[in-house]
Amino acid sequence: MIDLLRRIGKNRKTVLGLNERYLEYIRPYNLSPAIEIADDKVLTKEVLSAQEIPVPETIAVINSYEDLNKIDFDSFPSSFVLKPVHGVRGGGVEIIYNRDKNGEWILSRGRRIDLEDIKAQCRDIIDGRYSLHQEKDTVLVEERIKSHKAFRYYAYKGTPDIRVIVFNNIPVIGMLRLPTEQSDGRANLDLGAIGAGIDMAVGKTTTAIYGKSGLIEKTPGYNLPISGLKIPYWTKILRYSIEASKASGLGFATVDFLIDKEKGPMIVELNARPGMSIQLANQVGLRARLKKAGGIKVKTVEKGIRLAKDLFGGEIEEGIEALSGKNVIGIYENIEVQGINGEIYKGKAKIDTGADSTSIDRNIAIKLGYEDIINKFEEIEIPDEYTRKQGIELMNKFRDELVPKYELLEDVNLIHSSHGMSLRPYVKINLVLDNVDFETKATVFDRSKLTYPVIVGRKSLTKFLVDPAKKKNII
Amino acid sequence: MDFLISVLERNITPTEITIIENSFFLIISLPIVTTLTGFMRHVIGLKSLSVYAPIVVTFAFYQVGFIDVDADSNFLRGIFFGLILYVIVFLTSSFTYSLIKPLRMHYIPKTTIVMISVSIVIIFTILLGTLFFDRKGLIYLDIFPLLMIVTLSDTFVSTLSRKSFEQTSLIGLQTLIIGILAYGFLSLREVRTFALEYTAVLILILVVINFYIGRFVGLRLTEYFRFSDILLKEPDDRPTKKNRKK
Repeated sequence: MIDLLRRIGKNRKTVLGLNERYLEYIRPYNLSPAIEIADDKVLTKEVLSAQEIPVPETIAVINSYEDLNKIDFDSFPSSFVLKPVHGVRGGGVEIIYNRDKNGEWILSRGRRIDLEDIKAQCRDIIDGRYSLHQEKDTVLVEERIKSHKAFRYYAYKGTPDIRVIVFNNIPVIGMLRLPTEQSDGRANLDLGAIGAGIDMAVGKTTTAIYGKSGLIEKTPGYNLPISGLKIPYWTKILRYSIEASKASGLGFATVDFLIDKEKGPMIVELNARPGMSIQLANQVGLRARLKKAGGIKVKTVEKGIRLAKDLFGGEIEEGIEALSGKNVIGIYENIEVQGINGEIYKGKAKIDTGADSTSIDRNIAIKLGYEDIINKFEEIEIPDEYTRKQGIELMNKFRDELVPKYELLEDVNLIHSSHGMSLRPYVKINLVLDNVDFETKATVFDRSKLTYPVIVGRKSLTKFLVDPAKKKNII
Repeated sequence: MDFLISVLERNITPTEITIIENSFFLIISLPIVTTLTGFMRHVIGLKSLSVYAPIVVTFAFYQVGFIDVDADSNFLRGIFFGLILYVIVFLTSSFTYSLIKPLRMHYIPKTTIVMISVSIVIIFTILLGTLFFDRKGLIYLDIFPLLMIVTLSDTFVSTLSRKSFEQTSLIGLQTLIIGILAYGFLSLREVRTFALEYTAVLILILVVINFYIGRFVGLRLTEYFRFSDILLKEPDDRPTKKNRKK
């Protein structure tokens, strides 16, 4: 009992409560001009884009009915987001995914709306239906952020967001918020989203909480372990969060990011009143971190990034990953190969440092859209037996002949293996391994009699370190 | 207080003194209630709907306690009728608000509609209550506490427009707890005596307490529960892990 009290007494000093948050941090570090910027989404975007910090592209700002009449919705891209500038709890946000032949817009769950519906929605927002106390509001039309592949199996419907708190130009704590079925695709902890703490050194998730119900380890949907998920563009996220804090003048700020699968991280919101649940997601007190960050003079953004990584990271596989900047993977890993026809192959692969290059099974390659090349190759008549010299000649001949013809064909190579010599095509593939997405070369041949339809070889592993002791849940 | 009375003494009657004392006590009670509200907010962690809501609850309960003056148990009576009225106003407001919420309306007319429904229900409650309590109950209710409680519907609506029904109920409950505590405190004869005899001391104490709460940066009691996972962690487990690795 006494031990318990002593423990609480010690830990108490690490946690930041609402009283101290307001008196010691919000009041002194966030002055009203800065708060004004954060509270107005349109102003936030202006200030950030002026500093070349990426924000979702504004398509239109609609202030009044007159504005609405002047707007030509046909000139919009087929996918966009409507939102009230002063919306409360995500109310009134409408995500438009596409437009069909009849000119109707497609919403989630396949609902369709026409021009009149969209205008009615805009009028509702202007009338303040979604703003606090029904005050007049403004419609913000933005590009839709397409969720990054890294989160595909982790987020239900919506787009996960990443929240970083910056103090004294140092990112001090971070959280990944994953929408769930319960939160209906919204990344709001109060509504039942998942909040996962982030190791600041490597940008990987640590512990996580599920809504208000406490710690969880696996996602409710796919039952995947939440810990260890690598957030893409982590260093960029740290950089932009520091720059945003500087640009807005908020000394103690929450910076919210979405990650677009093509454009990378973008700031969607600044908040002058950081929430305290982030401490629970990380299972770490924020006060101790703020005290650590407080006394340091941070002159450059680079230094801020370095300090964030050095001071507030190192929970998972610290050392190797942080030092080498490389991901540590095991011998068997889940991989994804993205086909040129939109098909995706998912499965386990052997990480084979004994093999020179990656190879994938012929049948899989066909499914992924490489049929043309494979057929072409199989049409070629190759003598049953040839010497090494002849083999090289053949290789050079086909290389000169075929590589310029097929964009996806990278190379033709003569392979010596236990089956003897053979000529094999090398194709360009998109591989996702340990959440890292990269382009690499792979040979294609019939592996149907082998245990692994895909092996990943040395040439594709330059960004990784292989640890044979590391085991993962392989689907 | 004595000083004020002594100034007026020459042309004042004992009845008038009682009246002045009563008004004075009610007025000085206002900052006592808000001090308690502040304490509950910043030290304990109980939220209230607004600064004004616990005051309304306290004084409404206080006045309701005077129903049927011959009774001795003023306090329980206040709690009993006060609670009934409070719950009725809350439920009626929430129900009516949920009905008209989807309609596109300005805030004040919307609140007015809610208030109309609350007024109707309250009138019926008084009539029915009078029948059930054999004419001893609600009909003796003073009009002011009633009006005060009805105006709470505005506070409820404004909270409901920002938060869910569950959240509003929870905050409404916390407001009620603060109000009842304040009412209990002010009902103590000693508090009244102290306030009237040592007014200056009381004011000084209030000022000091509020400066203290105003600069209080410690964790709120509720935060000890909220962050219990972190607070109960072995304090040294992270550094030793690091040292071992190095």
